[in-house]
Amino acid sequence: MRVNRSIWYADRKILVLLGVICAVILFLIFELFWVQAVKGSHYKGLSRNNRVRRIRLTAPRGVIFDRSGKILAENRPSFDISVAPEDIPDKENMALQLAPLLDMTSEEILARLKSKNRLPYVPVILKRDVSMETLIRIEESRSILWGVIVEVLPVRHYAFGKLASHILGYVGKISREQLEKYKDYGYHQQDMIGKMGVEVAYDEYLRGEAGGMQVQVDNRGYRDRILSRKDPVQGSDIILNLDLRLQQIVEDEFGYNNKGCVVALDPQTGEVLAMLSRPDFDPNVFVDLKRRNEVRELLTDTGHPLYNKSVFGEYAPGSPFKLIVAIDALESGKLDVSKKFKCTGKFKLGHASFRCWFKPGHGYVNIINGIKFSCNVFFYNTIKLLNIDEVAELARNFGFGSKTGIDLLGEKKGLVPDLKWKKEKLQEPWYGGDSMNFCIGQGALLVTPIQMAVMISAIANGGNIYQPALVQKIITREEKRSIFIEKKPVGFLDVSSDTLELIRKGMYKVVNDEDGTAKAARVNGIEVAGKTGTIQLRSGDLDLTHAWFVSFAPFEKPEIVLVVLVEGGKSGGRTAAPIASRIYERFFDINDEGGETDVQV
Amino acid sequence: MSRYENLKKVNYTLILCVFLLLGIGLIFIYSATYQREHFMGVIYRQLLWVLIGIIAFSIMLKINLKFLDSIAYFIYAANLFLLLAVLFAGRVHLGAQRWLHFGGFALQPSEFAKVSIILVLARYLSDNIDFRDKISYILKPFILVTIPMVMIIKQPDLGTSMIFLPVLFAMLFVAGARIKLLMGIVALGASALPVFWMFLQNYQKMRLKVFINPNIDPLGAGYTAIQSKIAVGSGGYFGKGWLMGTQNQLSFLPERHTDFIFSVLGEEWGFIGCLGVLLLFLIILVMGLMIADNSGSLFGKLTAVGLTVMITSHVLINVGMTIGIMPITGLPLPFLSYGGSSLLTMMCSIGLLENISMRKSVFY
Repeated sequence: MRVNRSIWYADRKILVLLGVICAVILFLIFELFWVQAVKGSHYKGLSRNNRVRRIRLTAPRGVIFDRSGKILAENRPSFDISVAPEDIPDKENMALQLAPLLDMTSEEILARLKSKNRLPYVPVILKRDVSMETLIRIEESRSILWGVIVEVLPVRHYAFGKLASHILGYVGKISREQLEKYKDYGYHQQDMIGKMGVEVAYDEYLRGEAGGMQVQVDNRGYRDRILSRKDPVQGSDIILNLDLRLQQIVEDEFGYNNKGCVVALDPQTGEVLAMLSRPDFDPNVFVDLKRRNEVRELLTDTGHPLYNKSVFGEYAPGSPFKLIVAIDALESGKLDVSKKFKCTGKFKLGHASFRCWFKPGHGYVNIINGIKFSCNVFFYNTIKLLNIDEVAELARNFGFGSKTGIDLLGEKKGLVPDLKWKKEKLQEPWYGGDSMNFCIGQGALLVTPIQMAVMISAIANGGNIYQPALVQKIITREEKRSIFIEKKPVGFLDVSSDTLELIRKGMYKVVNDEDGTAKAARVNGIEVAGKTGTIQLRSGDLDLTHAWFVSFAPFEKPEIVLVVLVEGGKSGGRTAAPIASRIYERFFDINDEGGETDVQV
Repeated sequence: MSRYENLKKVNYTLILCVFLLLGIGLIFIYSATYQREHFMGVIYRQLLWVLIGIIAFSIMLKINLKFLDSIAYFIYAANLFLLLAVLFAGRVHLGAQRWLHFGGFALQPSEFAKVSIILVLARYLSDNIDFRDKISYILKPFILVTIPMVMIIKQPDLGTSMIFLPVLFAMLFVAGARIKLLMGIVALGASALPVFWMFLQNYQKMRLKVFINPNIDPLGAGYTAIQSKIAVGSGGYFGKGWLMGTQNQLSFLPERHTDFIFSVLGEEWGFIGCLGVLLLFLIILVMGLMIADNSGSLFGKLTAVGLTVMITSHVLINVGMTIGIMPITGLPLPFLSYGGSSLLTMMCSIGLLENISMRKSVFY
């Protein structure tokens, strides 16, 4: 038969077959070249995406301290329990085992595991922030609970609950609007951000810098190894001017059922020593998932517990405004101490009649007694001598009608009316009756309690207008550097020291004379000076009054300015002044350790 | 004829290429199972199969071709019986009933069918060479192939059954059947495809749909196709290095020591490694055709053609599926994939080729 020969002389059919087979192999080589050499980098990218996961490492927020270094807001670990459904061979059994531990029903757990919306191989969070007991029980049953993952995240914790809640504020997940606004500053979806108070005003310092981790995972999403890691940097710490002891005293003494607010300033610096607004709230509600239902209550409460009345509340100043009228009268030379007006309890202006709050009348009163008795008739007479626009100008110099610049967002400005304002706003001239309302701090006048505190501070310190400051300093964690918040006057009143001394004297008598309107504010051993105010709200059928008491102490060398506002309070002297008295008494008693505030450490 | 002379006629190039592929196979089975706890067990088992394969190779080398020719129908019948046994008594694994268990061994009769069908076709076509112009010369082999093919499709094993048609056509072509008739049959077969579709299992239909567009089900049926292509493609020119393939080592590749061993190779050794392996296959296939061309008998020639085309089909379908140009079927890559039955079949095939090569000058 045939002899061995080269393939080139082969059977033609075998040659055809050879051609086909060579074509097949060449085709495969070509296709491989296409996939590996030409599109190689594309598939390298896909392979990298397959195995590399970026994990964001949340930075713990900076700690907020009071002025003496006591912690007000810190971070605690939250233990989140999640499971990787792909790793669980018997989901029903696992759900039955886990249900009692997590205080859920097994149906709930199964529903979560089988949710259509979940991403494959991404663990499903079953319960956030479980208790330590739950955590221990889960760790103990680890051997039978496959695929259960415990993750630790820093969560905000407010050590004193409701205490100073309006100053501290609270944190929450960044909203879509906030993200849109701040995303260029490195904010990220799912980030926590300050929502109120110092937490939002100083968020850029408090939030720190999130870290990140690139981990290599296998096909089931298990971490194989860490490729790179950048540790998160904790946010800067913030030291407040707030005095925890005073704040506790204020919280206790204001009365838990009262509504209103208290502001305490250091008149020599503008430092905010205490600030209270009632009703209040516990900021932990916003981070503690077990208390989620309370958030809705807070948001729908008609008492608006989240609203900081000290800076957002606009009220008629009432009688304390008489101090400004008095200063203008003295400074313009229209009045001196010797000038007296007779108060019969009534004041006639044209056909109208305006009453003094004291029906029988105060008799002949000079300016000091006018302040002491808060005699309306005295000021009705006085305002007739004065230029309204000049009084309004003086009020603005005291800071009324503009923001004080306190380090909180959204502060209200209040309103100081004058002739021009009335003409523009109401297309009406300024009537004599307007002056009557104006001089006793009613009518269109509106101030915030913090503005009131700034005004009293200026009277107490000799004319310096300070910008109130909640924060004393910021301590950056990386460089261990302190940023101090400057405390210099932002304005100075062009008022003679004699005038201010006279006003202070009047305020002293308000509290310390037997017939002063605020003798209830007297404190043994401490000389308090102040001014009461009771304002009537015209709106509504209800005969509603708010009670003011503005004051400073000690008289000779003022250390503290205290503004107390009790909404619905019957009288400044009888409702607000006693609160201030108790606060002073305990504040100046060095043995007082502060209040019984519900401490949850 | 002396023993020595016979050994001189052994095609050593073929054997060398086969052993190179077996070695590369072991290297990548090692890599593909490296992450397992007792991965060396897999290697030892494959080594054992290589040894058994060498014994099978030797038997096939020694066996009298004439004898094989004479018992071709018997082997075919026995194989049909085994396939029937699989359908009734086989063990279900990975959704398919392919295995028969004897003691500690699991056998896949569909693997051996690849050889037995080639033998019976060679026997029929060489016996009836005088009638090669007739339609029955095409139809009867067709029936011979269809019976086991349907049984294998029913297992269900689409990949293996797909091997038989190219083998049948190549053997008919080389035997000299009328090309026009052959073409007519192909056209008829193509028009019968919709009927064929109806016989497919749902998962097979899904695989074919996914083959056309893997992204219709990226985490289900399309997952394997996508991950395999990523593995091969990300290997680039030179690969990520042995044991360094992330697709492989991090388990993104399924079935990676069996059906998708080529993806592991592609990822870790890159285009260069793939090229080398394909060239080794090409040498084996060219050798197979040379042996066919030089065969001393028509039976030997047709058997060699059948075996060569059978190996070619495996390479095309398996390598093609790793890069998404072929649908995913559970077809192993000869000599490289882990698995005893496949290895045994391939070693028998090489043994037969060498047998035909040795006996080329024997009058018969």
